[in-house]
Amino acid sequence: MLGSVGGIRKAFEEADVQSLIAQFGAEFVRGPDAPGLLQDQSEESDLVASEVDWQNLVARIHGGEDSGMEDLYSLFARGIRFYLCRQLGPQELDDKIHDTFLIVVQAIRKGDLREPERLMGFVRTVVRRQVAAHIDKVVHSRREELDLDVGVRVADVRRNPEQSAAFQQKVEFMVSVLDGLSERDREILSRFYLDEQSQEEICDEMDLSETQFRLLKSRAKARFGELGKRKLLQRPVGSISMRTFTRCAHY
Amino acid sequence: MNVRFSSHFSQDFLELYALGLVSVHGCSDVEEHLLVCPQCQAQLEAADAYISVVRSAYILISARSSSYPRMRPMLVAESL
Repeated sequence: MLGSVGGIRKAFEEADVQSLIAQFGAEFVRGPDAPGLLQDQSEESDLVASEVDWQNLVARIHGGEDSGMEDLYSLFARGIRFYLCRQLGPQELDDKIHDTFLIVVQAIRKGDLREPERLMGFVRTVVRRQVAAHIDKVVHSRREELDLDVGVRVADVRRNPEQSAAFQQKVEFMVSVLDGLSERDREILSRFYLDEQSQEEICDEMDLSETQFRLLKSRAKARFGELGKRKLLQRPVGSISMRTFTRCAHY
Repeated sequence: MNVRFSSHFSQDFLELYALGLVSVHGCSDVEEHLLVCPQCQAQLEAADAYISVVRSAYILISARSSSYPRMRPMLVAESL
């Protein structure tokens, strides 16, 4: 796959790029109804990062080889989906992924990527620009519609009832964990997870060592995991849902 | 096809990234890695979910202990 070279070089018009993306996209890009954001890809072959021949890959895409397009999708489709979904939510995800690949491929074809080994960085830049452009568009359209300029939330936060119930249960577990902590320990975690203070700031202000801080965090996590496992074991088998916590609703 | 790495970002680091506490330079490294590393994507997803749960739990606790009972439905709704 990635190491293969060959094929006839041909010039691709935009329409060709579009149809190729549609062809490979159908195979690799999953729709929003897919069971989870992260799929089991155990059947796929692994490649050590250092062995990826970026120069060869970029050359094949530049030359319009199908294998280049296929490998580009194979390498990045999942990661781009993950990034876009995490930042913007699942709505119109396939279109956004398609647009991203289109920009990347067209730039490579035009010779804009001068350092092939920087392909990962280039893809990241394109994805970030896509996110920024989408946010900008949403902010502007909401301003125009509602004359609001604060509190805009872009990512889709909707969960289905089953997911909401599972999430609520996890929140209750966490409430139990936090209830079991001293007020000081609760404050430490609150500063980190809610106020987003850095570890250094917290340790400094609350006279804590780095080890104490890490221990508190990891103990809370372990306790949360224990409660979850215990609760799961208490449930009758029939009540265990086939679907678990949503993998796309992060917020 | 998956790309394997000889090393990955730690859970602690991914948690910091999820909280937006990583420097711009650190962000570029982790985001490039995340584009092609399913293992770290899964770890980050878990970190996001955990942070969301912790935040919601704090909101719930604060709503339960609030002296303004009328605020509670709004806060609970936000936590969902």
